[in-house]
Amino acid sequence: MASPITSFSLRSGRWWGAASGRTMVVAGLLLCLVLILRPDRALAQEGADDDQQCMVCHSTPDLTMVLPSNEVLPLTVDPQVLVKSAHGTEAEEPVHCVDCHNNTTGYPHPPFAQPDFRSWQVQMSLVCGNCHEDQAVEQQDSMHSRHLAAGRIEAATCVDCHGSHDVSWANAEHPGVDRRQQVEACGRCHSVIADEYRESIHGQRLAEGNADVPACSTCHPAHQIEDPRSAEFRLKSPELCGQCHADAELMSRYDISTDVFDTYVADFHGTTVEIFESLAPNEYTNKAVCSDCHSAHRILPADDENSTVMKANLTRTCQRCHPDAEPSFSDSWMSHYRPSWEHFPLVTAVSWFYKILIPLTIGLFVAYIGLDAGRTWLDRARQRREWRRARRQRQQQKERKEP
Amino acid sequence: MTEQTRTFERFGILERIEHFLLLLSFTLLAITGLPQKFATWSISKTLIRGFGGIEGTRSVHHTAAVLLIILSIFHVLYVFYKIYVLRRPLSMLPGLQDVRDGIHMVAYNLGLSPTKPAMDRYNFAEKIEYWAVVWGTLIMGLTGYMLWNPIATTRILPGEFIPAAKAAHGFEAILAVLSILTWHVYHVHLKYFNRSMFTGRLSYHEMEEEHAAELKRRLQGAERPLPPPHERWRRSRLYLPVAGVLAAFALLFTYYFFTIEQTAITTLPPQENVNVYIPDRLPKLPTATPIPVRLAEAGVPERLQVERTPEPPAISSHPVDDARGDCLSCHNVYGYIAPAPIEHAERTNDICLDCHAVAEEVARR
Repeated sequence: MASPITSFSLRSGRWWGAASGRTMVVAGLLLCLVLILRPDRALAQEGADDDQQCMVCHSTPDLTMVLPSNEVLPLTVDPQVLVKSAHGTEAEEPVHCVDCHNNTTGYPHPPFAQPDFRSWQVQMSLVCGNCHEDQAVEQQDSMHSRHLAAGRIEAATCVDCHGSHDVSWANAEHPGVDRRQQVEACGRCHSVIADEYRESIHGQRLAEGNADVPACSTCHPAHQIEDPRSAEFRLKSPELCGQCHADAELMSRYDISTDVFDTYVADFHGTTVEIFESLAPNEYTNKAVCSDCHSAHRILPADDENSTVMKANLTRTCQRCHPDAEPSFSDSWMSHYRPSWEHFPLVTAVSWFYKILIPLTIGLFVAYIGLDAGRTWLDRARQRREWRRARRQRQQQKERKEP
Repeated sequence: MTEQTRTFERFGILERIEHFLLLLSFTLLAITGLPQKFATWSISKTLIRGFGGIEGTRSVHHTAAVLLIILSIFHVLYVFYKIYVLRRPLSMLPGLQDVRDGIHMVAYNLGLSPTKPAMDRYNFAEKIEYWAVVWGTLIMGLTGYMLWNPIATTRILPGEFIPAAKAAHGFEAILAVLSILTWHVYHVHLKYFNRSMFTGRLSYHEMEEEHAAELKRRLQGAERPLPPPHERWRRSRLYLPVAGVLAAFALLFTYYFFTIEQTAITTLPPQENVNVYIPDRLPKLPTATPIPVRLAEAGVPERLQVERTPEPPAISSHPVDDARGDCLSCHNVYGYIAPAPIEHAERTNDICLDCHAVAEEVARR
């Protein structure tokens, strides 16, 4: 025999499912008790009082319910978690239960209208935009939203990255601020890519607390994630890398060359990509972008033995696009060096040869032309003078004869 | 005065066609090549757009390059025809006389010499231009081939030759275009408008100015005498088949060399074979959390606090004592027989009895 109060302590969905009617009666009685005991508060429409009404039931340990999908949904709310969250007491304006659970304002609650927990989560995420309007608008065209719109409910919504009752602060714990949180958050779904990133030099440095290295959202802006497979993304990706790698001040801290972007654009691949970007930004080009050689997520320094661009691995990387390439072919890539007598002396020699030959040849041509044109002009002027003089003389002779 | 209105044949129809094709291929190569070298300039982008984007521009460049190569093959064979069959003098070969003529011309231009040099069929300025074209075509053809077929090239040469060829190709292009814009434009467009490449003929006055030695010779004797027909015929019978074979060989060679390799795949580079969505770390459901008893101490505000009466221990249907062994072996928190609440999970019988034995007594009373 269970006492009435004990029976309220619902422990399992199975139990709830079997005895929901009885439980509801008990909960309703309890609610009445609260209403009787504290009529002033219960009748007030303050959110704080509403919260307490919710907590009357939802602080019950191990309160659960069985969803139509047979998932068991815990209904117990830990007030400590709420308090510590961005919506908690330290927030300028604490967010109350019904602000988010805005269709669950009375008791008994409306029936659970979603087939499973995920659908419920997706549905609930829509309420975030009621307050966070800008972010809701921002993410409308993101890759995740597009997938959601196409009916793939596993695509991330607000709560997947920011949490729900434990929604993170816009401070150290926010995934946009502590970017290590970001890798965790993204990695919950994109686990393989997150692991690749963690192996990369960027990921290693991020784990050490470095604030300069890119994390997920540096390249895939959190609320406006584009399709990284699109032609636009491909074409602008070198500029994305260049934002940091052509920044002299930033790169000087790590002793990394800032020539990488310019030397890329100066070379065949980069020139083509650059032209495509300005003339046909929606068309694909198969000329390599940074990530084709350096990989997109597992980027390693060129002296790392696992790097795709390490000298010993370079030919294999070239062969992904140039299947017939041999080691000497990969030597034709100047490794982002500007040619100098130290690196690529033949190229330097050719450049110097022409830097002397062109001014010399064209200089001699122009000098000769100047002389020749001057003389020709003088000759022709003299000729004209003589011709005019001859004509005058003829006229004078004619005049002399006439009188 | 009749002599002064006379015109002199300078270029035959084949030379004029050659020049026209050279003009066409050179211009196409220049306006499709230089925009690639100066790709960031806005005029370059306009030109590239005009050729239907960079891939179209490169196609035109390659086509014009093949035209120039075929033209060069033809030119070499035609020169040999003129030398061997027609027994023309090697009038394009530079010699000491050209140096003398050049110095003489400069001296005249400086006013140091009263007369202009009397120059032959090809004066020194024309020889400079001809040999510059030969040099330029050789360099551009060679480096262009290397850039077009980098894999085949690097089977023979070290890799560094490719960027070196690219540098040379670009610089040589600038040299060629600037030479045309200065030397060629000045001599045949600005100084005089020399139409002989289109009409085939030069006036007496033009001959007098630039080819005085040739004029004198042609006024004295026959106009460029040809060998007797039977000799021409005899030599042609030997030369033409040889030239035909050579031409076929050269064209096949050209075709082979420019289709020797498939430099790169024509599809997008293989993208990383990563399954993007592997949510193996995604919590399926939020996990229930134990509720602390002292909410006020934990900093929970009043609005979230509900004073909960500690739940009375359940009253057992059997005597509560140690006789049945471990309480939790039956009242397993996950079990079916009056399962204990989850926070009882680790408790020992002593702790169980503390409350439940008392509760039983109270109930009996």
